[in-house]
Amino acid sequence: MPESPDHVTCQEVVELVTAYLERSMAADETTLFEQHLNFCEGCVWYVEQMRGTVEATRRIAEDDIPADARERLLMAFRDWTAP
Amino acid sequence: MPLTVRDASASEEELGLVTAVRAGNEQAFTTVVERHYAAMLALASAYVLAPGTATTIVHDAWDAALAASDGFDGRTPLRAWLLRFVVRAAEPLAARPDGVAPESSPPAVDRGRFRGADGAFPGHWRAYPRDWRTLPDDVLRGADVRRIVAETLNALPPEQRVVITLRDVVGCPSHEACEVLELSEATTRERLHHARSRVRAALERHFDA
Repeated sequence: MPESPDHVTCQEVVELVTAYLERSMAADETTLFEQHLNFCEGCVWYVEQMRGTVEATRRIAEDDIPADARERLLMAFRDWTAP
Repeated sequence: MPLTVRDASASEEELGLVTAVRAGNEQAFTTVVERHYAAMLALASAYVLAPGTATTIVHDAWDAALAASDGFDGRTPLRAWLLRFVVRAAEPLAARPDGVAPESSPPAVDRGRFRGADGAFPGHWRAYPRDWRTLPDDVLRGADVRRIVAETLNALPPEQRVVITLRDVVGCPSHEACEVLELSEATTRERLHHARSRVRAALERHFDA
């Protein structure tokens, strides 16, 4: 929660940003957060950096299955189905 | 491409697939493997790091899932149901089991980058962070970025690495990650926050260098 009831600081923004992106902040807290973004370009860029971080992390995903793993699993499945 | 499941329960199609798997249908089994193997391996790797051990965990998880497949009732999406078997197989082997480590994380951004309490605008940036949208695409999406993200994830406390892997690498929605890890939304979000903040800081050091 922000220390002041009527505004958030940049230092608070960097700790609240995940709750903001997750849409898990209370409505009044979201309002304060967005009011801050309206006048603070630095924090707009910070929020964009966090979005960029999420995108960059998504790109390390490996979607391929090694051929030997596929083969091993199929063997295990055949064993499992064998009477 | 792995299927992104957004619903809190399994689809009719998933129930049909599991029924076919139970009946011994190899094509159905292959379909399930192709959709979910990568997510299972990513999660196992987040627990143990060593590739050989992670692969073993995934295979143990498949064995356990097949043995328990008549218990799949569709109340959770298939991916979450399969990932639970990875958690059960991985937790005993994890270097530091979840929940044991004290949680003390540094601030998301070094305190020195904000104005102090004694001057004007306390708590505001001394100098703005950079607008990454102005960076060239090859810098933002280059191999260096992949390497830095992977290295930073490997250096995270395991309980944070597991959360960021599920949420941001695999792409699980919040409720699915909570269910798989049996954690509250608040705990999951806090760990995600610390993990994402560390990755951001590492990327910032790289982009600003």
